[in-house]
Amino acid sequence: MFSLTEESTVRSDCPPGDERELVERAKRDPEAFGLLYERYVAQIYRYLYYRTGNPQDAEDLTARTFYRALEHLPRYQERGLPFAAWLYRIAHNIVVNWQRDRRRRPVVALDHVVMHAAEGDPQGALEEQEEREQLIRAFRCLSPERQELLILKFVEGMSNAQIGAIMGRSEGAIKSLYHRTLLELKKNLEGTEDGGARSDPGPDQ
Amino acid sequence: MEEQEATLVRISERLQQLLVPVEPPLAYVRSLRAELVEAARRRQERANRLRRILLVGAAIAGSVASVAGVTAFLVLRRRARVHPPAVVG
Repeated sequence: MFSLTEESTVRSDCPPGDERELVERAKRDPEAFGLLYERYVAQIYRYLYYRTGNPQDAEDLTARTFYRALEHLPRYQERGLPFAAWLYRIAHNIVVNWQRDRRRRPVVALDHVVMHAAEGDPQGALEEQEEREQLIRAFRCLSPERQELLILKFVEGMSNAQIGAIMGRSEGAIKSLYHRTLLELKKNLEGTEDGGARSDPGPDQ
Repeated sequence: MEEQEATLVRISERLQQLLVPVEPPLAYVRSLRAELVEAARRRQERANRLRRILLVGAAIAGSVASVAGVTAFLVLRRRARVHPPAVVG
């Protein structure tokens, strides 16, 4: 019997020493691995939810991510990056393989995202829905790296410095990447309005 | 230029509305946790068993080596008594 403790709400901004100790314990102690899981499961799920576009696949890939983490944890070595960075790498690789296996871009469902339809204004609601779908299509056309950046920024509410730590880049590089991502989204949205989203990932260095 | 900046800000605001935090279902989180902890426990048990096997194996190998060493020593000593080395000169 177990209960989800307050650990489940703790995010990666816990003290690094505490996290390091927990990771070391988790290599030998199954319950410590459980705590580590509680700490990161929601983040990884959200990331995969927005990368796949639907909750079922997000659940499946979240499970695969943590099973792989469990398998590789004994060989994990801290190299100055937060533990979350390692988990995001695993999740990223899993979702990329998943997309390759299915030989398709993910279905743009995201139906479960809360909609803010204008009540009592069907025309407004329709326009809002249309705009939202255009934005989702444009988002899906972005490279995985740029999608990851937007998810970390908006869904996780991370700062550029935190995103940089996760993605292994400097704060300035993230700021610049974000700007280029917005420009690409703008271009994609214009493309959508002209009859279909297009993608121009460009160099992300 | 200003127009472009305004468009980017607008896109950023729309992203903020689109990319809202979602939570995994609690039942799923709990059940996956239980599965993972169980898998970790089994893995730990396998590792412990392997460590024990290696330890016992090393102990047996050590014992065999000791017995073989003592036996070899005794055999050589007996052989030396039966056939003492010829004294030169």
